[in-house]
Amino acid sequence: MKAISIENLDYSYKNGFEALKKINLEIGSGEFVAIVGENGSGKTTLVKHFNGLLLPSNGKVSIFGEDTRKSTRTYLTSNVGLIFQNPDTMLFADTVEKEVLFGLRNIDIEETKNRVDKSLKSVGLDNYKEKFPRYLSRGERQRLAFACIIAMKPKIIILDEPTTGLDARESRKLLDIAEDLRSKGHTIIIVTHSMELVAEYSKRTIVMENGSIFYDGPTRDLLSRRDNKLIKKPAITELSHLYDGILRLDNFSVEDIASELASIYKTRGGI
Amino acid sequence: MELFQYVQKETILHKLNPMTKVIIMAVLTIMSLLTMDIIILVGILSVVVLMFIVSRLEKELSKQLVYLFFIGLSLLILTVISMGEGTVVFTLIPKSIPYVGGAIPITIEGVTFGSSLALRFSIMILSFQMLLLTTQPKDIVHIMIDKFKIPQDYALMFLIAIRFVPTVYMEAKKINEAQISRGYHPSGLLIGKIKSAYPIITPLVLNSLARAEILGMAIETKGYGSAKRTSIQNFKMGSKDILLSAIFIAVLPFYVALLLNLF
Ligand SMILES: Nc1ncnc2c1ncn2[C@@H]1O[C@H](COP(=O)(O)OP(=O)(O)OP(=O)(O)O)[C@@H](O)[C@H]1O
Ligand SMILES: [Mg+2]
Repeated sequence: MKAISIENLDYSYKNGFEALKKINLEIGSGEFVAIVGENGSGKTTLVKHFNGLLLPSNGKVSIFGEDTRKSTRTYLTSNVGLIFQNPDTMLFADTVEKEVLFGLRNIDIEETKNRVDKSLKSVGLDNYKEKFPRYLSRGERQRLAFACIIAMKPKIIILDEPTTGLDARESRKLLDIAEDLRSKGHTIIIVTHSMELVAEYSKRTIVMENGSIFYDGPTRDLLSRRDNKLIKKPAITELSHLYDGILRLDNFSVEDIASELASIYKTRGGI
Repeated sequence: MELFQYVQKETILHKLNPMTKVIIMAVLTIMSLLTMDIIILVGILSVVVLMFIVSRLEKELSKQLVYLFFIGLSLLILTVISMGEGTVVFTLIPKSIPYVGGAIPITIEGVTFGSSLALRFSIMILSFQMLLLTTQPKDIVHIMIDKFKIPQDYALMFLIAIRFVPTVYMEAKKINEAQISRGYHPSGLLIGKIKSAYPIITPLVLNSLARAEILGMAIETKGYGSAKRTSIQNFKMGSKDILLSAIFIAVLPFYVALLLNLF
């Protein structure tokens, strides 16, 4: 059974804005999927349907075969973990430990100690148990938010722009944790603007455009599409395309290549 | 969340000098405070509603009416229950019941007084809304400082408060969604509900404080309070402003005379 399956999903906000149009999508257990697309293309609106924060205006969203309209809150929360971009929207407790406990209590988990320790260890915060969450660094707060969800052991984990505001090392740490969870059978969905991370971690990519799915398939195929202006490719792919283009000119000299590259660098702001 | 927020439209009321709107608002408020007569109050309320229609804010009005209806209704119920004196229409607890029978009488006076209170309340809230909805916050601040000589720190406080209503609302919504995603389900009776608001209120307050700090720095780096301020804009009263202000001010003495039965 598919972890997530979506049939003809439409969603309009209260003000009448059609944020999602005819979305059809299936995501299997244990997949690592990236969702990319311009600002306002509907990525967040889509992932909010996965844990029932939003319900479809038309169509159907099912989580392990259960229609989100008919599922209970507890069913959705224990199966789907959603982590938002800004960890500060959820941190409220006075210690890291209590912060993680909050979610567990909400879904009536008994064996709390073990779960808190394990989840904090998995994000490298095992020595922070007594700290005040707000005093942690941005990267640590994001990992704590992650731990709060991991402790609840949802089979599907969604990260909505988790790496915004994080440096390369912190971003990579976060995605390594996600990849580790995937290897243990979790389904990972990550919404991001960073094609470098997508190229490195996810085999499948979904591109959203104006509330519809513009592309859904292997990340490799997407990156090799030259026409695609929507996606900022990782620098190396872009560079190889450019190089390829220049080499195919009839008459060229080394100077030509050099000046061509220089001008491209200037206009695109470098790698 | 449109509450208190300026709505851009091209109507007479939007173009009026803010001072004119303050005068209209003040006159309507004073008029509603001077009388308990339901018919007159309904008349004043219709004027306010008319102004909403003239400024094409029917949508905003209808949203407000829902809230006002409930607040008005509770005002009415409270007054009716607590006013025992007067002509009794019936009693909430029938006379036939022994001991407590005949308690909580509903009186005509109670109903009229409650209705007037609810009407007054609606008039005041709506006419204040009218000012806020049709006037840019910065223009309101101008008037506060230049015409009413309110110290600029307080005027700025007012401006920021109004400006941040929707921001805080959006933030609260995001926090709520984040906590729901962690299985948060506020439950229980009143005390339980208040206690369980903690996971929402704490981040909301802390994030707002953080935002206030940044805003404070931004204001200071722009030199707030470092020199005497000068106005870029100078609000002139146009002919429409003068006419309308004059009409509303002139109505007032006649209105008082009418109430005192001087005619
Ligand atoms: N509560 C709302 N009411 C009305 N429209 C909304 C609401 N929330 C979002 N939208 C609109 O829906 C569209 C999709 O928003 P969404 O947040 O899903 O985009 P996104 O792809 O996540 O963008 P970003 O990359 O900026 O996070 C946007 O045009 C946005 O303005
Ligand atoms: Mg988003």
